[in-house]
Amino acid sequence: MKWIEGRHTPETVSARIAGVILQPPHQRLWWQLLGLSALGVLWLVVSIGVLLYRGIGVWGVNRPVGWGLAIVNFVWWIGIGHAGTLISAILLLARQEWRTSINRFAEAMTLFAVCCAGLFPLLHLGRPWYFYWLAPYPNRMLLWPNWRSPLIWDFFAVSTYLTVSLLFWYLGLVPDLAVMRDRATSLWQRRIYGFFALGWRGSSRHWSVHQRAYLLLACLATPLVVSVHSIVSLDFAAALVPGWHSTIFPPFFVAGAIFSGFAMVVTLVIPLRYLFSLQDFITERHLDAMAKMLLLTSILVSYGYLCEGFCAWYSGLRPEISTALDRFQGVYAPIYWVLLLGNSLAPLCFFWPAARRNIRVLLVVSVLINIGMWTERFIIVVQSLSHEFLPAAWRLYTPTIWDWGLYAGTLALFSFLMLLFVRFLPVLSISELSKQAVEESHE
Amino acid sequence: MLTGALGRRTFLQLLSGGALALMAGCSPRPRGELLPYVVAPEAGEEQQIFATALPYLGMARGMLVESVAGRPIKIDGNPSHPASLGGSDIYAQAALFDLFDEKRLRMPLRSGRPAAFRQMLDEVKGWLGAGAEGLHILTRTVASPALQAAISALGARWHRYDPIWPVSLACRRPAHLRAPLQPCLVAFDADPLGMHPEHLRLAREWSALRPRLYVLESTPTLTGGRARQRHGLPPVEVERGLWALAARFGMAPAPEGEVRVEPAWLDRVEAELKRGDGLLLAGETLSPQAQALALRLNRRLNAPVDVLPALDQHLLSPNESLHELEGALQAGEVKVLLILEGNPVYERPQFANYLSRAGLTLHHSRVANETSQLCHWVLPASHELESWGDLRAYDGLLSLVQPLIQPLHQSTSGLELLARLKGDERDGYALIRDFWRGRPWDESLRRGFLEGSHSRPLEWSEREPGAAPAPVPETVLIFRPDAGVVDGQLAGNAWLQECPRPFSKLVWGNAVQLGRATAESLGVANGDLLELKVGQQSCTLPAWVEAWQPEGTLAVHFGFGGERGGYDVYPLRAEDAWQAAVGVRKVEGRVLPISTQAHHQLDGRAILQTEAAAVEVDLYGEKAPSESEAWGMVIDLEACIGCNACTVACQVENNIPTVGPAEAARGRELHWIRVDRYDHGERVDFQPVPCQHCENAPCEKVCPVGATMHSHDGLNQMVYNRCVGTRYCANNCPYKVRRFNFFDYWGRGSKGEAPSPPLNLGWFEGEPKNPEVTVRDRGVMEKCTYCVQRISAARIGADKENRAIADGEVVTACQAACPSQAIVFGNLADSGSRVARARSDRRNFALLGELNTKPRTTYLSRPNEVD
Repeated sequence: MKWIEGRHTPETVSARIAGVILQPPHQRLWWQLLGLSALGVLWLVVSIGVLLYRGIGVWGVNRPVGWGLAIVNFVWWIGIGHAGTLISAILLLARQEWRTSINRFAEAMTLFAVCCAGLFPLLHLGRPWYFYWLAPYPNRMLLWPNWRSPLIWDFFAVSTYLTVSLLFWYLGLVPDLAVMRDRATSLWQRRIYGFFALGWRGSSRHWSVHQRAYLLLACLATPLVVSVHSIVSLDFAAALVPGWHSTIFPPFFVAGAIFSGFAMVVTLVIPLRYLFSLQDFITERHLDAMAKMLLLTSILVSYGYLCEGFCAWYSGLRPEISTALDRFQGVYAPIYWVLLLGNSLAPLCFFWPAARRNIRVLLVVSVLINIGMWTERFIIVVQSLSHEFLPAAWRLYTPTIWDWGLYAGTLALFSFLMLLFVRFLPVLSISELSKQAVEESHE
Repeated sequence: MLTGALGRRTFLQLLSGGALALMAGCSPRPRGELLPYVVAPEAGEEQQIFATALPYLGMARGMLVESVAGRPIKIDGNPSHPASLGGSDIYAQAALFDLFDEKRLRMPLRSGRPAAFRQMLDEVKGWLGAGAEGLHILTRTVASPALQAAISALGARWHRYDPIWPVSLACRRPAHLRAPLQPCLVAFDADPLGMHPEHLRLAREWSALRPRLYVLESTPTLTGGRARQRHGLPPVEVERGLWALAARFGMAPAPEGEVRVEPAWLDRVEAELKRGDGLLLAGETLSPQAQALALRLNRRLNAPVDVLPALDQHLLSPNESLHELEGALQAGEVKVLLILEGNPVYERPQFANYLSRAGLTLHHSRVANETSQLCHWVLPASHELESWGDLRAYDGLLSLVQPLIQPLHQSTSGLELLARLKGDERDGYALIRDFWRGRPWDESLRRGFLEGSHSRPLEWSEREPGAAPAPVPETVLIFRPDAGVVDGQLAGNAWLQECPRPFSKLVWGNAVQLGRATAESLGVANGDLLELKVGQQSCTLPAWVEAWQPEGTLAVHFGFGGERGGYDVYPLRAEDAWQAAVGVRKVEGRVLPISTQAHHQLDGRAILQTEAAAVEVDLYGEKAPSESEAWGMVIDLEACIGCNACTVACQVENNIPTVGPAEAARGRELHWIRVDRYDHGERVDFQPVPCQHCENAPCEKVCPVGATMHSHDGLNQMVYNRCVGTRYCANNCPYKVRRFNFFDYWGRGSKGEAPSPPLNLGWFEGEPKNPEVTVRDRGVMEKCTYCVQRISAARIGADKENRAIADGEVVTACQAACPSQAIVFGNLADSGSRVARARSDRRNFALLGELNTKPRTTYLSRPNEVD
């Protein structure tokens, strides 16, 4: 099956992809967007400053809702950060060739999303300057973290994931950085790309070592795809809170993460291929494949919702049932309906091939899924906490401007990093696409 | 010595000299002879306990004040004082706040400017000359014989007013009706467990007796909350109910027309009363005729009601009223007007129109208020904890008010001020000693009161009750004192402001309470504004739906408005009226009153276990408590009256800051023990919820840094220093008892969010602190510790004597305060301890025990009455 449109040789592939950087199109638009994102990043800095100066109280968190938007956003970003490794590692091992066109981009997205996610657990501490107490380090008081706490597992899971994702992304980049070095026109570009290309010469020995290392990392990264979000889900599942205390959470969260990650890839890839004229490499068939992934994961996630309801009912426990019903009837019900619309209903249209290949439908549905997955985390975190065991302690949570500020700030940070990425690094894998172009030309 | 360079020795000499000078300046002790409480527990030199008396509704309750290094830090009931019996209430607990209140006046002010006290004396002399002609004094109820004598001695005209006259009008002269509680009680708009000068004694008796209580009332009261059968009716229908009951005993004509009280209730009460041992309680808000009828019925039932003379016999005599003063002012007869305490301009708004007619006005007050703004002179008044005096309790028992500290500011007590006006320069101690000459002083001071000094019952005949009042068709507005700030005098007290009102759970303000159907008919929900119109006056308040407020009535609580927060409803109130016909309409706008509890329904959960619960089978095996000590608590839900004394006592003991209205509105109040209210069926239940100290604690498992863990004696401990503030423990606590410092609520570094300006009552620096308890930082979790500092103190004491801690040696702050003794604390490992015995009661249950948290705090359920 051909995944590349048109007639391409390694030379044309290199020229087209390196050209995005060396003869950048849409410079004005890029600067405008970068400026806008930079303003957003400034806002992020202000939000963090206010938070550190005045305290967690600037957020809307209260008793009983001790976790608010910060944790919602953490889980949301981590979820988005799932697609990269999944595409890179699992699809690589599963020999899904269509991944070649999107893996670099998805990996970068993963990295930036995890960076954004990583901010939240640190900042949401009451005393963030003591975050390192979560790490087991030798100290005079012989204090050790509490290994029973899911937050400790979380701490390790997320930091491992970030490290491996970074390595994987960089390892894949090395041959492409060498291409950039060779094609660069100015001295400084050559030097910088050259530095990061680690002296790559493209010899057979280089390639053989690289391929082995890449495969090895893929094998290492694969369990991480499952582990990170499983462990994030344990933050909730290991607690007593009705709506959290559920054994289905790990697979349910992993499915949701892949779902939201793919949705974000689709959301970003559509304008990208259009702006940089990459339709040859990211074809409608790629979009179709991703839409199928969305459909599959949507159904998995919907199964999770059904299971939650069933378990609540089957438990016969009033707090569980009450929490489940409150999702449909309570103050947060509109948010729950958005969740069902975005996550369960809208993706069903992908049963129709026409919808899978219609750019507009894809874009709208993927954005809906992004929103839906955010509301899902809101419902899980906030609604569950607001409606616990003792009705006397029920209370709602309303985000404040600083809750939203931090969220908007991380969105800006994400787009800021993405913009830098598309401007300075090859957005698609030159080496892998070249290989694919050669292979396809032989077919 | 200082000529050369400052050498090491010289430096040390100067340092020690300076330190000595500083030490001499610390701990101002009051002058005069201070005698510690007679059976004070043995303690170091630092800590001492003194007996004194604090007023509530103007009358004394005996208190013991703990003083550390010369500073009062905690107040609890005096067990030997008959008016408190060791229990206390939120007002006593919070009195320390008023003492250290930053808003207190610091020096005499003449027209708002600091001035010398002597200048005031000269000015008064200038107006009056040698005599006392033209001197008028306005007071509230005065229950202090020394002060009464001093006022009389001055030869001035004495006027009295009070927003709450705590006297019965059943007889022809103002009286106090006092009776020991009986096994069957019938209350008509009476609140012996709440707004009653003797509520501590009554709560204790109630708890010991657990009488069968039947209540008709027009606003929800703590007493109604404990009733077997309680009906809410408009005030006039409550009275008609009393007549209907009296008619069944042939004591009064049956009320004409339809009576709204249910015949079943009347049947039941009649049958109960006919069995004997019954007592009727008629509230002082009822008409004098109704009160008289109740007294007559009590006499018929042979209920042991004593008629005691009111502490101030001239209380209601017409020529000593506020009206008379207004007349005198109008006629220009008043040269000098001295207002002792109180705030008549606020409580009787029309009085402001007359005040300017006096030649010279003096206001003796602890804080500046509406009245002091209109007076020429404002004289700072001493707090009861810094002045000498005496005070009678409800039953007339003469109690001594003993200072714990020298006046913090240039203030005088009322006694001293009156003496100065007479040219007597002696201090309060000398004055009270002089007044008490011939009475046993040392003994009374140690004990806190003069034994055998209570009033003797009188044989006064009651008024003629006459016929029942006619029904009132229109909507009635009911005025009541607020449960927190009472008449507004305590509105500066942040502890009281932030103490949730027992029923509404409102803090930092008031609202108009109305029943569900009434709210629906007006089309309002919580927070919608309602305009109330009484006569020419109108006032707009937010609505608050209260399931127990009788339909067709609205209730407002006075004591708010302006800087106090909330809304001032005194302008609607004509004189001392407790109700008024009202016009009400909805107006645009919404102001949601601040409440700490939004849901009162049980939602089908067995939280109170009013029915016997199925036996829980524990699949995980019993974890044996520690062999030597296993601290535990049992809270009797049947005994709990919902008064919140535990909440405030805990706040004082454990240095819990108030968070202010803005933060309270966000649900961030820090009380370590809260009292939940649940409505179910005809019942209201209160459930105090402190940390349950679970043996299998969900909070401990989830803390990533191990900041909360178990002690050897079973306490769930919180290590503030280690806490990084993930709030995971609070999320995982099913009881929601963990509190978080979202801001720096103590205001050190002032990073806390400033409260909204009109409610800035200055609580940051003013709140006194317990030196035994750590003050928590921003970003740190905190919660009930079972008063670990008290456990440690007891352990140190026991270790010194090489013995185990005895049962009852550790008393938690909530337990000590509880007037109805609903809380028992002790060692569960000691099978003979009170707490272990309480835990083996068959009413004992663990809250959310099905979660297998194995709480150390358990409850005794309040069963459904079996009829």
